Amino acid sequence: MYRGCGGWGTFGMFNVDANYDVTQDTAQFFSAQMLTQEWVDPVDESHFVYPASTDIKDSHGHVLVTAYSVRRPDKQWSLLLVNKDQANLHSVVVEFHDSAKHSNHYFQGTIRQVSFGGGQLCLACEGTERICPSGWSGGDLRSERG
Amino acid sequence: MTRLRWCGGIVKIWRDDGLPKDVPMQITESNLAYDTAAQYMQPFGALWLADYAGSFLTVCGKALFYYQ
Repeated sequence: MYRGCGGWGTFGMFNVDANYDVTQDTAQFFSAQMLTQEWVDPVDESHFVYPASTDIKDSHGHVLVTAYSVRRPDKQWSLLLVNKDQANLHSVVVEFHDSAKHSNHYFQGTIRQVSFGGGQLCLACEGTERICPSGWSGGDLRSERG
Repeated sequence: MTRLRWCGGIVKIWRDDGLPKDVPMQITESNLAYDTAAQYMQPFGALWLADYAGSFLTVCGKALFYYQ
């Protein structure tokens, strides 16, 4: 483990103090939590991953928002959207395409949305007070088509 | 090129080199460590982990493990 201001837990999830006690969770910790507790169902069962894509690109054709979809064992669809455009929000319309039936489908009813970004993380050096909120946030949305 | 295409390309190379299709592929140990860049502890690290996990599983990775 690495101690002190400017030092971080060895492999990325925690910052520690002089006694090697965890003082702060880092961004990879929260990302791992979202992946394992929210995107997928936190149970020891198979999940099925389906290809997903977005058309949100910058002027050079770089994909700014990537998408990953999974069908969970609890029968829910779960969509992971990664916005790599740090300074801008992007609106999305989510379509599920059934290639066998040549039809599109949409979320219906209540959708649980969980997010994590720079606004939810503030790294504090040892000896300073952490005043920023940390962690991911979540809430229920109502599908406009539901 | 997206991370998904990178992962897909690497998986294809392994298969083309002879790894049988029925042998599952797993990433058994990975992380972004502090000593390379402090940015890895900041939102960049979160984006990387989410993008990389989604990419690997989408291109038929069976499991991956974060090493802490």
